[in-house]
Amino acid sequence: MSQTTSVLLVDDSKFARLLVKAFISSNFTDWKIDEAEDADKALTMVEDKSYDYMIIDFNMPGMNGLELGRELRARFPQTVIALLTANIQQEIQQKAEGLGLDFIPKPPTEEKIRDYLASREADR
Amino acid sequence: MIDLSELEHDTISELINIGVGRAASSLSEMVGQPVELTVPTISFVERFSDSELAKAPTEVVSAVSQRFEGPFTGEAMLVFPEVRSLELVRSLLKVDVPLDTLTDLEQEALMEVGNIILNACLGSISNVLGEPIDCAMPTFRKRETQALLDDDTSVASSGSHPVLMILHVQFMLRQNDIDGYVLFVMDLESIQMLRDLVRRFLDNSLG
Repeated sequence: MSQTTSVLLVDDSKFARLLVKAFISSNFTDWKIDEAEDADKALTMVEDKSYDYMIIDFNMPGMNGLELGRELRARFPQTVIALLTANIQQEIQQKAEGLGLDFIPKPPTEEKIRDYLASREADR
Repeated sequence: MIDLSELEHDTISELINIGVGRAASSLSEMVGQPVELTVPTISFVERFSDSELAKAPTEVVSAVSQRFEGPFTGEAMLVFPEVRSLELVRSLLKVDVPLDTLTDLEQEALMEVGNIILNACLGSISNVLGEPIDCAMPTFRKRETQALLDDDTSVASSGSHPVLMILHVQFMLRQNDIDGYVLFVMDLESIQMLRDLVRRFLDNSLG
């Protein structure tokens, strides 16, 4: 694991990425945050680099967040992977849990993102 | 136009109320201020232009629309006056950005707000009825109210039974003087399926 904590944000919404990135950066100033706008880009990025955290949206063009999460979980069993989604249906939450993904309901707020990451950091 | 008992009508309103309540809570979290809601109303029309909503037909509105599919299909929309949309985006962003960036981000931001609000509505309804609903990617429209549903993929133009159930609830952010509404549009077959699910839900709930 690299010394600087690294995060990969995968969301087709530039706005959502901008917000989440700002929330992380203001609370964890030395973390390195990369962004991908879809699953294909994310899968290319993880070829060259490993991440401590992956935060992925569910509803994206192409592969959805659960499909991407399944693939990433199989390849990176130690990485903390969270589904950050507006889709709050129990079915989606259960599927995420079944894949070993955390579930964070949108909207992202600074408190929500900070508290989630702080609690995960405490566990690591 | 469609046979709904008072209890069924009331239950559908309540389902939407729960969904929109969840959506309002999401919006309130995003903007950091209270969001007020009106009581949902349900109306049946043959054309959107017949609805109360079309009474200011030339007003330009911004709308985020999301098709949904499941036991019933339709289209959910978040609509607000175009003139207030930048103001809404500004209140959503907790970080300062220059005006150019704000304008660039406008559509992206509104799509994401629509995605969160409409998913909160549909997700709550799905959870109550115990039936999964798939939501398509959100799309953005900026046009006159009278043309709101003029779209090739819209339920309004595709159904063989041109009956629309319009579920309408208005939301208000008083601090920013922003208001808008959420609209669900379904055709006759979907309305009947929703009614059947509501009957089943009532049977189960009432024992």
